[in-house]
Amino acid sequence: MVISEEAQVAALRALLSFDPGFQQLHQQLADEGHLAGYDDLVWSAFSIAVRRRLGRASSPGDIVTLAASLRVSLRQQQVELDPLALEDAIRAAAGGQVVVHYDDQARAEILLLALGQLIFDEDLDEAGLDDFLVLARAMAGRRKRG
Amino acid sequence: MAVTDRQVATLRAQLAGDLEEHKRLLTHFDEESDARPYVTLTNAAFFKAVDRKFNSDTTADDIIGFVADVRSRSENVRAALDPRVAERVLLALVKDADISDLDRREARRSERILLNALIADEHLDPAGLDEFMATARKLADELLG
Repeated sequence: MVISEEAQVAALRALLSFDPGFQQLHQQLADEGHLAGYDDLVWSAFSIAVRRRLGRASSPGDIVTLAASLRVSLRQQQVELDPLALEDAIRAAAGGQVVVHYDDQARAEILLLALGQLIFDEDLDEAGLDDFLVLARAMAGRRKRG
Repeated sequence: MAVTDRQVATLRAQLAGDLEEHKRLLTHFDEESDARPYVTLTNAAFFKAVDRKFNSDTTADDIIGFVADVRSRSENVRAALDPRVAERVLLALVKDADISDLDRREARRSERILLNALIADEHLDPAGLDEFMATARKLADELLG
């Protein structure tokens, strides 16, 4: 279990540091049957990144503005995200009520792309990224334990 | 066929935020004689308002930002204005983008909300709003032939 968690953290770290080895690490997770719980890790990381960006007292308007800002940034990489689906994901991460506008596949894609942009915007150094992943792993662990 | 004073007053009341007066004037509308000129006047006003706000340097990113700004103002606007439609409606005017696949009712609803926001952002005084309405009316009359 610990090995699979470490492999998941390594894959997510590769994604967030724009390491081209991400695809290979992700494929390895799938091939070795270590994907269970990866969604929780990604969700936890996204949730932490959103809360760090918005602060504690975010308004519904802040969520709309953040979604637009992420979309504008991602468009520079030719990535187009559905605005309502992205707002839903951010709203859920910020602890708000969610109207589901997306399926699981779309949600997973949105989370990874938006998370990548949020972390890029934070401009973390290596140690900062490690600290962030420790928090995400701890939160995912708490989610798993219920 | 030309735009009437009452049609101008009806749209003016909406843009001035006087919704009671807007609704009151609408109740006097005759579907057959008022529908076409009023829709044309609204379209002309939207065209003019977009033209005053945006220009050839406007990017799709600017439009995403503007629609988000409008949607961030209230829960009602957020619920009523679908950004996927609103952005495309603006891009159609600013960048000549094709929106023939959009639902016409949905597009019209977006135009109405965006028009209100565009005019609200201009903070026009009564004379400024009259001037804007005159410009929109002139264009609408040209379109109606």
